[in-house]
Parts: sequence; structure tokens; C-alpha cells
Amino acid sequence: MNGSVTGTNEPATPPRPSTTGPARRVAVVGASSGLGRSIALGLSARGDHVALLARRRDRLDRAVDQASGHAIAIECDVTDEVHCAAAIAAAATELGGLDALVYSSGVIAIEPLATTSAATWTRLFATNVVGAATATRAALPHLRATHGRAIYLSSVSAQSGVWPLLGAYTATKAALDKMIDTWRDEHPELGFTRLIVGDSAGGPGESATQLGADASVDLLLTGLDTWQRRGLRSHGLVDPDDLVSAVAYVLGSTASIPVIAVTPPPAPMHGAPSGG
Amino acid sequence: MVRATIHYVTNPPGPGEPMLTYVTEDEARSTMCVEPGVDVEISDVRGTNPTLRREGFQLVDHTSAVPDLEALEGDADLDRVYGREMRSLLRDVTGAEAVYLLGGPKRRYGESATAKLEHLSNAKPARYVHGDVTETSALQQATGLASMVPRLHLREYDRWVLYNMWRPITPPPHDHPLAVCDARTIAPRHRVPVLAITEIRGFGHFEFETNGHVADPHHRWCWFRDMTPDEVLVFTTFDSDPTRPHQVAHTAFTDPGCPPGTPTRASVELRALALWT
Repeated sequence: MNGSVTGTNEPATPPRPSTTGPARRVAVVGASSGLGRSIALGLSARGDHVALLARRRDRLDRAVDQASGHAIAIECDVTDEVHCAAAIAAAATELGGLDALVYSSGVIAIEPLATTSAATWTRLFATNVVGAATATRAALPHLRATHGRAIYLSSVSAQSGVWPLLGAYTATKAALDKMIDTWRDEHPELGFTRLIVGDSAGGPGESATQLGADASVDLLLTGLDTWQRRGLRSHGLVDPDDLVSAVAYVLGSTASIPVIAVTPPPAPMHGAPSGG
Repeated sequence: MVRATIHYVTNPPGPGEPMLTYVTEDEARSTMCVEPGVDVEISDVRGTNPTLRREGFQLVDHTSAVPDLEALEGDADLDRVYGREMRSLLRDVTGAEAVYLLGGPKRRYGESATAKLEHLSNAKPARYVHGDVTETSALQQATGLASMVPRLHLREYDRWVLYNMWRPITPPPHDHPLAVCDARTIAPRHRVPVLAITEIRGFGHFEFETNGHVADPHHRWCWFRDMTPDEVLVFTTFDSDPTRPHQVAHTAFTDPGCPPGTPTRASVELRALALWT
């Protein structure tokens, strides 16, 4: 199956010039919602040429409609190796090459390990880990041709603390991190970067991560309460604009950056001077 | 109209006494007492078109694209499809500026469906007259959800409302239909906070405040006879606007007219937060 393509070659508003040189050609996988959508639209607004890849055609089309720069939509199911490879190839063809891959596809489950089924484990690993491997493998020849970059959205939950009810999810993110480091070792000619994301629920509106649908109300509220009590949650959420800046920084850097983190701002200190 | 027995709190605590509890997986451990039941008239309001604005509940025709509604709360992709449908439905019905789901769909089964219930937590219909939240837990839920949504600040909205969207997933007739109480007939002084304690299998317990009620002959009880899986009953569980129906108390009841041997009722519900500026 070939990935199908639509796009806007005539941007609604003139794109801002790239802050780091000529427009880069970027494939963002998982761009129909959540942080991937925010990153794709943000890079497009900065002047990059962006292919938005995801499963859901209607949401992809709406995202492309909102893009202020060059953006195309390509259907991509990362859990289907052949389909995913065709979609990445289509992105490279449509963009005239590929300077970067951003992998942001991710699914979450809020559930105790004692009730997490093999099907749930398989579903999470298929998208969060195997999908990343499949997309990277497909993008590899294109990235080698441009000495390109690959950036993967990882999670602070795989770095610090133990997050009850997110056992399967954090295991996939830890596996993803290890895999990225190996890609980096095996292909030093390219840049592989782990982008560690702090507490986040995507961007505003349609960019909001569809977290609600992934747990029963009891589990969702239990999770929020437990993470709060254990001090795992931050004071706020990651600003999607900061994430776009971080991705743009990695893409524009001549250095190969192994890890970059974006976390929410710290809570204001009590008794801090209010000015003067 | 049907006459049926429903269950109110019969042991409301006095001043300074601890809050009553309702243990969802082991009701014998509850401190809340709901016996004896009270016989009430429950009016079939099908055709009279109750509204969210007036009674606090409204029946909406909706055929889901999910082919097997019993597969919900078990298939993440279907849950998302259903969630998107219900978000859209609630936006259309209420005219809210924004709607956020509070968790995914939740299935419930009558007590006789032991094989189904074995794999689910907190999945029996609650057999006491209750509102899903108190003022305290409504605020906890809304702020908890808002804390997960970027740039969502409740204080920037003039009005926020929690809704429940309830749908039978078995065809009529139903042995345990849902009765809803006209919100205009509920006196706040007859509410009794009840701490629901539900088991999170393999993890621990989750507690949240609900509103029980003591019996009140002014309550006007309603139901929609023979609801089908192509109908959704939307009802208010908390409204921050004091001029609107504040909360619809509800309870499952046993319909004495349901033919013996009818397979027990199954339903799916979804909760959401709606916002207005």
C-alpha cells in the first residue's frame, strides 16, 4: 500500500523565514494530534517544509489546513511495516529529500500491571518502540543522503521516579531510549536525539493529547491523585512552543545532540520578592 | 408510569459524625444504610422532551459507529472512536465552547452478569439514589482534568459543567433501567455526602465523594421506557451556574414489569467537562 499525499503548496500566510538557514525537509510521524501536531505546525510556521504523518486522515487534513507554511499530509500506520515504509518514502519524494525525522507517535495506558493484558503490552510496544524502529529504518537512506537528524519524543517518566499505573508505558519509553542510543552508536554519521518531555498533554485544541479516552475515570483520577501525592507531577505542563524551539535547535545545530529535555517551569517560590 | 422500589440513605450522620461510605465491590462493608427501600412512582417521560436546561436531563438519538458497544472499555481504538463521537454529541447538545472527556467509556452490568463483572471494577449499577459528585469532588475532578490540558484554566471560564452520557448497550426491555430525578425537585438539604470506595484491581483503592439523598416525597422520578442502544441519556452531574439545574440524582431500579428471563441490562457511560466563557 502506498501512502497517499495531499498538501498545501500555497500557505495561508507567508511563512516566517527560518532562523537557522534554508528550509529543512522534515517528516513528523504522529502529527495528527498531541505534541507531534504542535511540533509539525511550529516547524512549518518557522519556514521548514513539513510532512505530517499519522493514521487519521481527517485530523491530518485539518492540521495541514492550519499550517502557516509548507505542509503535506501523508497517511501512515506505524504498526504496519510496509505501509510505514511507503509513507516515509512518499514523504521523502514529496519533499524532495529528507533532512529530519521527528517521531512523536505514542500511546499510553493507565492501568496497574496486575491487570495489564498482553494485548495492551503489544499495542504500546508496537507504536512506541517498534514503530519508531520501522520509521527510522525507512528514513535511514534518505537521512544518510543529507547527514540528517532523527528526534524521538521520550518521557520524563522513563527517567526519574517510579510512576505507578504507567508501568507498561514507562517500559516502552525506557526501551525507546535504549534503542535510540544504539541507533546513534551504529550510525555516527547521523544525529539521533532523545527529546525528554516533562509533564505534558499536547497543545491547545486539537493538539491536546487524547488522554481522556485511555483510562477509566476511576483509573485516571487515581493516577492523577497518586502522582500528585508522590511529588511526581510538575507544577505545570510543558509549553508546546518550548518543544518546537527545542526541536528547531537540534535540527539547526551542527553538533549531534544526544539528549535534550523540555520540562515545565518550576513552581513559583513562596515569599519571592514581587519586584522593585 | 411504573411503581418501583428505590433506595435512599436511611442513616444520615449527625453533626460531627463521619461521612458515610459506600464500598462498591463489597457493599456489606458500607456504613451507608439504604434499607428499607421506598416505593415511588416513576413516570415514563418519553415524548415529553425533558431538557438539560429544565429538568437537567435530555434524551438524544445517536447511532454509534462502534459496531459492538460491548467491546468498549477493552479496545483502545474503539474507545477513542466512541469518545470522539460523544464529545461531538455533547458539544452539539449543550453548545459548550469546549468539551473534555473525563476518562474513557465505562461499562456496567446488572448483578446477575457475574461472568462479565468478574473482569471489571466498579461495574455494577449503583442501587442508591445518588449524584455522581459533591461540590468537593466536582472541583477535584474538574481541576484534575484541567491540570492535564495545556493552557486550560477553569478560572477563565464563566461556567463549567460535568455531564454523564449514559446509553444501554442491550436492547429493551431492561430489568434494571435508570431512573433520573427532575433536578428542580431536589432540595440541597436532603443531600448526604457519601464516600464511594472502589477497588482498583491490582493496585489499591480509590475514594471519591458522591451525593446520597434522604427520602423526599417531592422528588419527581422519571425514566425513558425501552431505551435502545441508539439513544443516549445526557444528564447534569454538576453545574457551576446556580441558576441552572445543579445535579440530577439517579439510580438503577428493578422494573417489576420486565419479563422474567430477560438478559440483564448492560450500559456504557462516559463523563465529560463542558466549558463556557
